[in-house]
Amino acid sequence: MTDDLDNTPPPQIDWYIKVADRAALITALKGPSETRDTFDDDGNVTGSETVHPHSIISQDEDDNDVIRATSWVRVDEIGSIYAPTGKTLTDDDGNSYPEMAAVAGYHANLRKLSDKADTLIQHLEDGGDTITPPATPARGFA
Amino acid sequence: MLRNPGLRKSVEQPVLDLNFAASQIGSNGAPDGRMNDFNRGSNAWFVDSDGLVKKSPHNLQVYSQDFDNAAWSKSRVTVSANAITAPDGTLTADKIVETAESGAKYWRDFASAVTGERFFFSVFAKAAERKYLQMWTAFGTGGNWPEVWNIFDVEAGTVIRSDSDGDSATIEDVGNGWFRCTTSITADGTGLDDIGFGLWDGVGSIPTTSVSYTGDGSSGLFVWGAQFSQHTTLPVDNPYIKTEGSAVYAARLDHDPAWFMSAAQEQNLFEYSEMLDDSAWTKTILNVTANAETDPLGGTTAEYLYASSPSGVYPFIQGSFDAKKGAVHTVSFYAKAGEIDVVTINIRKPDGTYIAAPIENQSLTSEWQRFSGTFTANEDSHIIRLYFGSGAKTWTGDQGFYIWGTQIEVGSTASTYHRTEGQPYYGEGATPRGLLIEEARTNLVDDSEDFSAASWSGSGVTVTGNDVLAPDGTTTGTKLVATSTNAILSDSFTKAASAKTYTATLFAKTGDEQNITLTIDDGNSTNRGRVVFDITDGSVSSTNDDGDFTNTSGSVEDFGNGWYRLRVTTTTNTGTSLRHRFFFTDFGTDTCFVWGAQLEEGSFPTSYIQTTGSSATRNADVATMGPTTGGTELVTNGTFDTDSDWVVTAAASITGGELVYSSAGQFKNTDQIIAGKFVAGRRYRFSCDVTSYTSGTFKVIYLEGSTNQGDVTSTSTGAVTFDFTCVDDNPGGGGNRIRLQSFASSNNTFAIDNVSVRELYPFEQYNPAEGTVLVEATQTGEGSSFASVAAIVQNGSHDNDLINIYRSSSNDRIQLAIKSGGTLSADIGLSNARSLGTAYKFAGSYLENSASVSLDGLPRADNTSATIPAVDQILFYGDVNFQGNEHSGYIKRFQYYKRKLDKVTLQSLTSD
Repeated sequence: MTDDLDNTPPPQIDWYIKVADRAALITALKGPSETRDTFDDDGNVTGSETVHPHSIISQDEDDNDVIRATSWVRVDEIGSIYAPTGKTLTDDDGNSYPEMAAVAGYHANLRKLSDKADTLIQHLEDGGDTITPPATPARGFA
Repeated sequence: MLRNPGLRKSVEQPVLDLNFAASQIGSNGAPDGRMNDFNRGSNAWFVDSDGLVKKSPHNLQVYSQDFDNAAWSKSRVTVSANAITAPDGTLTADKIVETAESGAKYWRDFASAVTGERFFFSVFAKAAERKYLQMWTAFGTGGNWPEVWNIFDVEAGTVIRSDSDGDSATIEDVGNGWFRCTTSITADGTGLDDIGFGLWDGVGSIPTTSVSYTGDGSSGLFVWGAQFSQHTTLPVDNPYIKTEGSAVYAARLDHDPAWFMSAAQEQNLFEYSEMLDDSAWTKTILNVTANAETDPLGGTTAEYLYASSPSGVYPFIQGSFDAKKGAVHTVSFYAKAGEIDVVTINIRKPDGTYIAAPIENQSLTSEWQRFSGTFTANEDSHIIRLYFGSGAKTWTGDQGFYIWGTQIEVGSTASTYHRTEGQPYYGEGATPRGLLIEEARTNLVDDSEDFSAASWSGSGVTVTGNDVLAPDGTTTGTKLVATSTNAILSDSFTKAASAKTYTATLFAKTGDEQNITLTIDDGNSTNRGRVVFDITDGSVSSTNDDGDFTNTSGSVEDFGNGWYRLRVTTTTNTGTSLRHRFFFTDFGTDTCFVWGAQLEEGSFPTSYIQTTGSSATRNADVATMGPTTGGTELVTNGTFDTDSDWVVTAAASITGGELVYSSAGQFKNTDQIIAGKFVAGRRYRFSCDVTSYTSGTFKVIYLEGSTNQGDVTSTSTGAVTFDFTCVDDNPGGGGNRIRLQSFASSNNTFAIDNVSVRELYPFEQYNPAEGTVLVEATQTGEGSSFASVAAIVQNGSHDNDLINIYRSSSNDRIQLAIKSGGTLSADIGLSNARSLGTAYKFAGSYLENSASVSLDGLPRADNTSATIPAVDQILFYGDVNFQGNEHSGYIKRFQYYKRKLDKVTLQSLTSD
């Protein structure tokens, strides 16, 4: 730049998540946990429970874990990403195409829509669940 | 005896009527600005009212109306936030004031560029002490944006300088001294680069780059609503979208694509309809003097066409245009005689071959006349050639005639003339389909429009990109020519080792090819889902399960101008290879055109997702309304911070941030006209505070012209509120007015503050005991056994407390489900099925232990055990999380009535 203005680039909006498997992704997207007291109808403490106030995980009617679309963060669950092995195959049309194999890990993309996502994103970064943004992502948001 | 028996029975009106078929996108990205939380977080494509496939409106510029935010870096300017009423009537426009320093005065931010993509950069501006606004890109670096310096006069409403390195610079009068200035640019690099605005004092010659001057420390201009978006073609009216810290992607109001290039659509297929001096028109021994004559509208934009020298051939001017092959077209123009008084128009093939003369030896007079003629296009593009036509073949260099307003369009008559500059005009009017709600989907194809990219493998076919007019209105359609008897394009993928259902779609158009086959296979053509299409009439010729692929189906959708979107859906085997192919079935040297390939996991197609180099995901559409929604403030200066915006009676004054009546007599009025903000039929709430009261009566009246449509009085301090319905939103005779009045006969002494009028939130009108909901919808797909179309729910407990209209995929029925506290108390519908893609009207009414439904005017079904839940939010959800299902389709209309309508009314509600 030729001027002396603040040249801080715009803040990051997309994160790339890589974990071991889907169970790990679900756990990660529940965000940090907190322990809260539980009470009876008279207001007496009856014990404690673990909650995830920043979770974007819900269960459908069959109790399967689903990733919620929220107004503050969106997650595109990719799963396996495939990369060329270096071998070339030929299809029945005679076209050459690269042999692909799954790369390690279970993958997802995350887009931040508002600052409300910061705690969840920090939790993912602290847990080592995000990777350096690839130069040419296998998949992006439209 | 009743004087008007026709009024014995009042007709119940909906208190909430979301008519998405007649909506516009509001500044919050939602239809009419009324849904409080529409979000998607990614781009999405839709069919606009001109029939073109486009990206939905969006704004990538953060803090779009907060120029004081640190996201905007400032150089020798200061920002006075919320200094003046903005174009939307809110006190949110900022004033940019120059400092007294010497140097360039500007403010800027970064924007992300992608090589070759077209971007639009706009801002609303209004003159103050300064009237020249500079819009620029790539100041200092120029690596990713072309270095463009456009200057606008925001007092006169003119473009002072349009930089040739940009695509265009336009200015639009939006009223009240405000102008929307727009610059379009095509990125010449990829990455972050800066865009910004500057001030100019108007001294010296028009600057062609950054301009430095010594400011006076006080002069400036007003700005509001910056927008930065990436489009090949702007959405109609380019709706402004407000942003804060993140980009906002708006909802989609979709339309029937068959409108594009139909005879019913008004078009002007010329790119420069008046600027015949532009290089888009080629001239042969003919010159053009631009703006040489008064045009038919009284401006000076008519051209003089004259022979450049005597010659043995006819002088002519010619241009090319995209045509609709096989359709009748009409060419028209305004002309009047100069020295030449006869003209002829030829239509030719792109190679110059003559095909028709729709206008031949037409005599001109000394008066402007509009001439037209018809021809049938036999190619996808043609040349038009306009000759001097007297028959003599010798000319002097000074002979010519005048011309203005050239137009070419599909159809047999000349429609209203539409000026073009740089791109053709495609008129609005496509049939609205309503609010498009879709689940998340990924286009697995890496290069959806570039069939020569490495991700595609071709054999026996020649691929020529950017050859023909595509469904998005750009010349990005690819031409395919079979060079052998095995013309195939294919794209290979890897999938999980389980049976999955995929849907592939492709836009295709015939050249002279009749059939295209789309397949999804496992890398070997033995196992595949295969559909053969006839692209001359847009039909499915055959559908085939080959090998161990199952459930193959196909369909076609007409996208206008000969384009069809072809679909194949199939369920794979458990292999890990996946391949999408399309090929010709008539072998030889046949041609066809393709665009917009898509492969997505799912049992039905969704809207097009453009990809360039990698697969891309469109997120789910999620629209909610409530608990507090629709409350855009209609009153300006309701806090009496200034003495503007009110017509104040002499018996009162705006003092100390209040409206003060002191010993005022009767009927002393303080009015505010609220123009263009009310919508007839909607409900509104007035509120204000009586901050001090001594004596008299304070009265508020809502007036339409001279008609009192509602009022309330007060004789004490405290809040004053009343609700009213706008009956006429353009009444004339004083307009829609709020009147603050001294009503007692004498000695009215009180003070008023915080005057507000806003549309009622839907749940301020909600009746917790009973109601009726109506939905007009078309579902295009569903991800599970049932899919909610529209629901009224309790925020935070939407699975347990809801009134839900849904479609069951097991029997294709539309149902009303009522759940309270997690217990389902009613689940009723008619036995009549409505298959995917079928439009329907469904209404449900409810009261404790009594619920009824009606579908398309059919006799109702009833339930006698309904328990009505407490609710406060309306949902239109494309997300899997609501009720464990995903809905995709169109919501054309949603109505809520605060009474359980009687059964006859319920049936009639759905019958037309």
